[in-house]
Amino acid sequence: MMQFIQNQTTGHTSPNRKATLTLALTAVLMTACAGAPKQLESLDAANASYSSANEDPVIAKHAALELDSARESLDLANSVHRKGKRPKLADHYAYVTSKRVEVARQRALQLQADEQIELMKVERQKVQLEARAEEIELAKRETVALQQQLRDMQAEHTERGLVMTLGDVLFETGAANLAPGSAASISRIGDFMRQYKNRTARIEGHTDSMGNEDTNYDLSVSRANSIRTALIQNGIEPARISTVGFGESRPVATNNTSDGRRQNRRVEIVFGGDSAQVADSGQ
Amino acid sequence: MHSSVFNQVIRGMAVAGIVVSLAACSSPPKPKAELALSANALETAEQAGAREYAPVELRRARELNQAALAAVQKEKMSSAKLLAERAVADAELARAIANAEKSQQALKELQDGIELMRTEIQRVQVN
Repeated sequence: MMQFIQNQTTGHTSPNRKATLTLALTAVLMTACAGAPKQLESLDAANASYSSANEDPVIAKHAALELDSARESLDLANSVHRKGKRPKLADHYAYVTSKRVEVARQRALQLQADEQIELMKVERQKVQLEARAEEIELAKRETVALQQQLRDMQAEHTERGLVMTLGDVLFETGAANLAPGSAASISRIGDFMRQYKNRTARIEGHTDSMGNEDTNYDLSVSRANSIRTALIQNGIEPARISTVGFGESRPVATNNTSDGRRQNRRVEIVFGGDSAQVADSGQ
Repeated sequence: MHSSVFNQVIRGMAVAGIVVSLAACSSPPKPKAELALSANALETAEQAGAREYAPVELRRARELNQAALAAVQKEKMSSAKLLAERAVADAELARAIANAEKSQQALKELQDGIELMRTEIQRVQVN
């Protein structure tokens, strides 16, 4: 600038005006060059993205180091740009800055997620405990349900296991055919066996002592087999059901009264297999 | 006559010498540190899973690194230095993206798992 003024003032006294003009023009061009450097888009963008990241409290909290390194290259970019001589270098540092700001953003996202992960782990533990408690509650309810079911089936726990006694009303008199009213009992047994897949059933036929002993034995076997067939038709696997006939050999009451004889005419179903479950659900 | 030719030769050699030494001065050395950083940053990014999570950024970093090596071959050392620095910037971004992505995925899996357990508990409670 000083040079420019000097040239102008000396210009008037100089005989060669042309030379003076050239000098003046050169000086103007030089001052223009040294004054305001051209705007650099990449640097504007870098400055903007750095500022917005710097104002973001999450980034400031989690990625201070990364922000610092972005700041370093941004300062370089700005100072190179101000000197105005190496626009490519300024652009280079602007590029690096933009990447570093993005690194800071990503780092903040990562650490934010990591923080959440720690919280969620605690949460998961809580829910797991809840689930465990719920499981225990469910098991309790199942036990209660089983006991209710056994009561409905009039089954009892004995030293032989879980025993259910079916009276002779299920059969037609003196025959092994199931009476029409037996369907409900059969389907209840079927439901039970479907629900407790490990259970097996041993079906035992018994009679009173009226009539021929051999006939009674045959009848007890046939009645046990009728029940087995009905259960298989109900969908129970044949392998889970065995039968045996005891005839009149195992009375549970006297054969001298009609009431005693009615009690002796019976089919007993002994459920085996899942002994643990039997014990658990016991009274 | 003889001495003047000799003087000219000497002068010529001196000028040549100055030119050569100037050229040597103006051409910077190979940017070994920057190239090493770049290779290292690329490897770290890959180890973080950038190939899967930040393929675009990783590819860019690789290309810049290649360009830096090519510039070294052409003896364009200042250019090589800048390219290597850019490669580092992109490789570090690729790594940061991969790490963020992995954490966010892990968080989501955890949240989904908890959500599933909650639904399961509710389902049992309703029944």
